Amino acid sequence: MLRTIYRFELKKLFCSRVNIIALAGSVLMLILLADSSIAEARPVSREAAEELNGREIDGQLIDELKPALKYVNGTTVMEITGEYEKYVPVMDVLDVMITSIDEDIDLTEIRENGLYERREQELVQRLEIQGLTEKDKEFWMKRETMVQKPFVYRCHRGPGNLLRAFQALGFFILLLSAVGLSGSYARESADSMNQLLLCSRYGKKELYYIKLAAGFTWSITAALIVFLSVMIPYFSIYGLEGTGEMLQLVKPMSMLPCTIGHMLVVYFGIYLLAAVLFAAVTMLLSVITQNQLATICGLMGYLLIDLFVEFPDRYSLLQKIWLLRPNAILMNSGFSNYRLIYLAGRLFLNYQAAPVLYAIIVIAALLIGQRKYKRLQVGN
Amino acid sequence: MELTADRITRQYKNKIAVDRMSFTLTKGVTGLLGANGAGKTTLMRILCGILVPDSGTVTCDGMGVETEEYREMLGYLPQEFGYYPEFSGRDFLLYMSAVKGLQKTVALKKTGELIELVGLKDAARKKVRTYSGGMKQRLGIAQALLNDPQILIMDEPTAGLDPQERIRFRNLIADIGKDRIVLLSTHIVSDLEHIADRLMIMKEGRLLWQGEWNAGAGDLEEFYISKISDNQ
Repeated sequence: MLRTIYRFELKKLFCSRVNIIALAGSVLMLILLADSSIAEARPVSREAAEELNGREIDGQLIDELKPALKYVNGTTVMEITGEYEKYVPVMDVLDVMITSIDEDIDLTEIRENGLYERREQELVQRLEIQGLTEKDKEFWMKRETMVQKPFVYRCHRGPGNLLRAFQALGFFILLLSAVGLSGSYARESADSMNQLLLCSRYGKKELYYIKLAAGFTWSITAALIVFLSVMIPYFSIYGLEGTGEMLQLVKPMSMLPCTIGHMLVVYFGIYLLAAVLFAAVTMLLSVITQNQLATICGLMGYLLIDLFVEFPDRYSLLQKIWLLRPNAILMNSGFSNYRLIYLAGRLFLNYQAAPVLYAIIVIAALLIGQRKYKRLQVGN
Repeated sequence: MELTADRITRQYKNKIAVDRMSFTLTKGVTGLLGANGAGKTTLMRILCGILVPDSGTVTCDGMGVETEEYREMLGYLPQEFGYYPEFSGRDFLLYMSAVKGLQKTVALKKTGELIELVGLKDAARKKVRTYSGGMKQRLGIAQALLNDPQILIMDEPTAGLDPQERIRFRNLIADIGKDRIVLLSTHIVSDLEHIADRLMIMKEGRLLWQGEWNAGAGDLEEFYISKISDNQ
């Protein structure tokens, strides 16, 4: 019986026209987004990329490039002509490095390992600005020594682009949760179906949990579908190559000695947890407000706060917690948050501590929701 | 079996919807009469356990209306409710069967029987959004009967039904009421005239009159009007 209820609850979600349109629209937009990033990428011939594969990004390489480089209006640009076309892949990495370190870097003036010295100066400065303790700084510097320098170029466009796409994915999964699940409890009230459900045998207790299970299924399925809509174009065009390469080729300011593939797995995990978190919070709002529009407005309000609110450094604890929110971790600048979290005497990185926080929020949401649902009445 | 309401009161802001009502319902059809706003729907919701009274209690053989056991033997047809537009009529009944706790085989059998009983066989697999008002009402009646309820509470069940369907439905209720508690509210007095064993007349949240009703006792409409007038 409970399985039958679950099946019908899924039908409510997956056969709803609004949900289908929202999901299809999200897939379409993400495919277009992937397509535009592919179209905007400088064309690279496979031979050129393979020739550069394994080249250290050092002073010697920059010297080779210098005749094609110009420093115009505070930006280093490369004239992609003739023999310099083959350097496009490595220039892509240099562009990301410059943008991450300091947009004003004049690459034509850089000598030998000057680029890495500038990077290290910037890192030290950031650790200082973020108010890290000596112990935290020591932690990062130890990891930084484990990052290979100079960076070694390897083809990585497929996994690299996918890693960058998580920022958009985090936004879409919040949107899909808001649209898809805001009505899961509220709609029963709006359609006066609560009258029938709440006086049925399983309507007062079991139905609450089954609706939750169906909501989580929707959110995770939607998350997987939108993820595939980005992953398939990137991997079918660029391939999986680069998964095992150093993270710094995509995130130059990261001090984590790990690979792009490792970070893809971490991000994917955070992304799925975010889907569960957003689903739990949406359904909680749906139970509490009993109003679909109010639930959507609440979540859109959160999205605005998420985009624009930052806690100043003096509120250190609040700031640390705020930076654990899914979109803060998944955003492209998420790697430049070096604040560490201490839990039970142990030290955690933001993406290690975030699942603990999400689990607490999800459990709290389920319990509060259950309490509220149990007290639901009709007509008051 | 007895369904007992003891001094139940429910107030909405400045209006007392149900005012210290006490009564006992036993097997048979009880008709609930009252003008719009008399408090009939609020009373029915309280009896179904979906609205908690401000004071007083409702019990069935000592069992509270908030218990799963009570809900298991309850059938309720509200005056108005939405359906899931993406469901077919059959889906809707199967869903409600599952929420009511019916085993799958029983649910399938019961759904088939009720679809036939309420004359929706040809439309069973069509989406509910394509149903007319009368068809939706018949689907609502079917869902109320899914679990063979021992207590059946129906709020304006004949609204939207054509005259022929109303007569068929009246006979069905009379049949069900032989060995179960049936509470039926309606503003169409003639619906109750021939099937009600007891009557309850409500006005402004109060129970104006309650007692046995004999089908041969005269014109129910006149009786109802006289009771209402006596109180003015």
